[in-house]
Amino acid sequence: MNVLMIGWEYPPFSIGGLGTHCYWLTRYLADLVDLYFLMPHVGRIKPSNSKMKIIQLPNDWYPFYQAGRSLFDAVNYYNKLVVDQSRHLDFDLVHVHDWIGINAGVRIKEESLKPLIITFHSTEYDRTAGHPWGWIKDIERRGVENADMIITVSNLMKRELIKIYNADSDKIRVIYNGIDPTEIKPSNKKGLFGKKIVLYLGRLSVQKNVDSFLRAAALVLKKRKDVHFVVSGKGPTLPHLLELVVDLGISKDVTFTGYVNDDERDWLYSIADLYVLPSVSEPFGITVLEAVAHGTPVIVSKTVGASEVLKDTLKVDFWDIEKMASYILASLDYKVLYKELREKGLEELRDITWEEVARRTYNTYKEVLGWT
Amino acid sequence: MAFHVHQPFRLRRFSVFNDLEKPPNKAYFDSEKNRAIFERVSKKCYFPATEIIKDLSNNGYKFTYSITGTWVESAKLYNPDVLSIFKETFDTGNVELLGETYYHSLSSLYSGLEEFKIQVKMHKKMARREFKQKTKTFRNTELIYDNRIGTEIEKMKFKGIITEGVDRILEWRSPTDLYRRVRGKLPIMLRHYKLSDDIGFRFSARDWACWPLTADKYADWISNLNGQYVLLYIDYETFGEHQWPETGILDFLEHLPGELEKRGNELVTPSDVLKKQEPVGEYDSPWAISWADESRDVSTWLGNRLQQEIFKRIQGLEEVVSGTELEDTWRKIQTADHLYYLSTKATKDGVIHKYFNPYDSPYDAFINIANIIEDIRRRAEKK
Repeated sequence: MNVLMIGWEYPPFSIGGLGTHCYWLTRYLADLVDLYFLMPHVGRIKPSNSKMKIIQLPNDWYPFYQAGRSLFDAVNYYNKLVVDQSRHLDFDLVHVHDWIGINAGVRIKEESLKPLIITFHSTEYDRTAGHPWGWIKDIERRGVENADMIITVSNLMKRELIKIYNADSDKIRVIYNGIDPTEIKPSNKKGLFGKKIVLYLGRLSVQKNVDSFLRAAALVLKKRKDVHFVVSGKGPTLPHLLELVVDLGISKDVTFTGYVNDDERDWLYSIADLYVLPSVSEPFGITVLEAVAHGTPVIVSKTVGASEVLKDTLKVDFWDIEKMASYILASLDYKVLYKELREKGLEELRDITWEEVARRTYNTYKEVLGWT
Repeated sequence: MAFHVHQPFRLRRFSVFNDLEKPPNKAYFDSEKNRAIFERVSKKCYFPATEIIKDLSNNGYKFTYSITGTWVESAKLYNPDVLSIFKETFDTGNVELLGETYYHSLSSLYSGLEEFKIQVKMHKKMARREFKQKTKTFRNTELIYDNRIGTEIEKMKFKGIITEGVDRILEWRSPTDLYRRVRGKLPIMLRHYKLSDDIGFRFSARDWACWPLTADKYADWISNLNGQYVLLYIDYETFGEHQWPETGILDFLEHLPGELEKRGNELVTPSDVLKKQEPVGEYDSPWAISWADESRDVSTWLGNRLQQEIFKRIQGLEEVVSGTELEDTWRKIQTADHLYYLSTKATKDGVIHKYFNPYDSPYDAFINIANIIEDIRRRAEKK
C-alpha cells in the first residue's frame, strides 16, 4: 500500500502534539506501508523510520512571519507545491493532518480519485478559545465534507466535529495518541531545593487556562509553603500571567522557564512531583502521557481528551480552582494516594503505544480501501 | 425473610480551604443530600413496603429486620413518621429485630474488639428504647463473619449469628441447615444467596432466563428445597427503590407469604429456628466473609491500598477523639459505606458500585474523606 501523507510539523521543528504524533506514527506506519511524507523545507530533519520517504518542499516563505507575508499566503503556497508534487507520485490514498494541508488533499483527491483521510488533532475553535478565523474554519469544514474517513484523537474531538461541522459520525474513527515504551522512564521524585515541584508545560494561550493553575497555586501556598510551581512554555498570554503572579503575591513561588527543548522538557518532567493541565479545551494533550511516563501523576481538566485513556487520573472542571488546589494538596499530602496514582498511571500507559496507533491507522486505511 | 434497613450519614464535599471561608463551614455531613435521599427512599420504599409487612404480620406472618442506629437517627431527623410505622410493625409481636453494630461499621475487623463491643451495646440499647425489642440474634455489618467474631458474639450471649452461606466454606453442604462456630456452641444461620439475589438483583432483569419472577414460581422453588430453614436476607430498598414499583416487586412481596403458606411452608424468625433446630456441623471461617460482590469477602471495603489507608487512619483517630464531643462524628465516619465508595473493582460488581457512588472517582472519595479525617484530628488535638 502506498500512502501519501501531508504534514507540516516534524521534530525538531514542531511546537505541539501534531509534530510528535507524525514522528511516532511514521515510525511504526512505515513498517506497514510505503510512505511518502511531504512537509515544508524548514531545515534538516531525521526521519523516525528509514523506510519512509520524506519529501521536503522548498518553501522560502517559511517561516511566513519572517518573510512579512501572511499565514494565508504561506499556506496557499505550500498547498500548491504539495499538489504539484503529488502528480509525480504513485499512491493509493492521501492522508492529511489538520487544516493546513486540507485544500491540497481535496484537490489531490479530485485529480487522482484516491480516497482522502484527515486526522484532526484540534480544530480552529480549540486553538483560538472559541474565536476562530473564518477562512480556517471554512477549510476545516471543507475537509470534513470531502474526507472519505476522519480520524480524531479523542471522543471529545469527535463530538466537537459533529457539533460544529456537522460531521457524519459513521465516518469518524477515534485513535488515541500513544507513548513509546522507550519513553517510559519513571524517576524517583526527590524534589528540588527541598520543595515539591508542581509543573505546567505547554503553550501559554487562553485555551490552556494557565490562569486557573496559578490561582490554584496561590490557594495551595496558603496551606503549604514547601511547594514550588513551574510554568514552562511560551505564548501570547505570558505578560498577563506574569502580572497575575504579582497580583496574587506568589511571584517568588513560581518560575517561568520560557520555551524548553526536548532534553530540558524531560528533565522538568523528571523533577516534577505533579503535572497539571487545566485546559478549557484540549483535544488530546500528549504532554499528559509524557508526564505519566516520567512517573509524575497528573491532574487534568475534564475537557482534556487524554483523560479518556487515562482513567485513573484526578480530573477537575477547568473552572474549579478550589478543587484543583485541593487535589494538588491531597496528592502531595497523602503518600498512599500519590503512590497509587503514579503506579496506576504507569500501568495504563502500557496499553497505549504508538505501534498500536500505527496499526489502527493502517486498519483504517484498509477499511477505506475496502481491503478488509 | 429478613430485611436490611440502613442509611449512612453521607459526607459533604469538604474543602481543605474551609477555614479560609467566612464564616468557616465545619459541617462534615451533607444534611441536604441525606434528607433528600431519605425522603425519596421513604416515599418509594419505607412507607409502601412497611405497610405491606405490617399488614402481613398482623395476619400472623413473621418477619425479621436489621435496622442500623444511623438509620434511626436519620429517620428522627428527616421523617419521624417512617419510624412510627416501623414501631407499629414491631408492635404486632411477629417481627424480630436483629442485633448489630449501631454505626454499620467495620469495627469487627479492628485489631481489638473493644470498639466493636461498644457499638453492639449501643445498638442493643437503641433497639430496646426505640422498638421495645431485646435483640437475641446477631448479624454483623454486611454479614461479615470470621471465627474471631463468632467467639466474641458467643461471649456477648447472643443466641445465634447470621452470615453468608459461602460455597467455598460449605463445599457440598447446604445453606439451609444450621451450623456451629468452630470449637464453640454459637449456632450459625446462613443466608441463601442465590434465592436472595433472585429478588435483590435479578427480579427485573429481562435477560434472566427466569424472568418474570412471580410469587408462585418462587414459592415452588423454595418448597422443593430440603433442610431446616431457608433464610432470605434482602436489602430493604429492593422493594420500591432499587426495583421500581412498576416491576411488580411490591405485589410480589405482598403475595409471597400466602403462596409459601399454601405450599405448607411457615414464615418464621431466626429465633424460632434457633429454638427448634440443632446445628448439623461446623462452619469454619478463618478469614472474613461477607455478603458482598461475587468474591463474598471484605475486599469490597478493604480491597485496595486507598481503602486500607483510610481504614487505618480512621482507627488511628480513636486515641484523639475518645471522650470528646467528636466521638459520635468519628463513629459515623466508621460506617462501611464510606469505604465502599473507594472501591476500584472494575469487574461486573464495579457497575453496581458505580450506581451507589456519589463521587467522581475512588480518588475523589479518598481525598474527601482523608481531608475530613485530618480535620477531625486537628480539631480533637486542639482540645
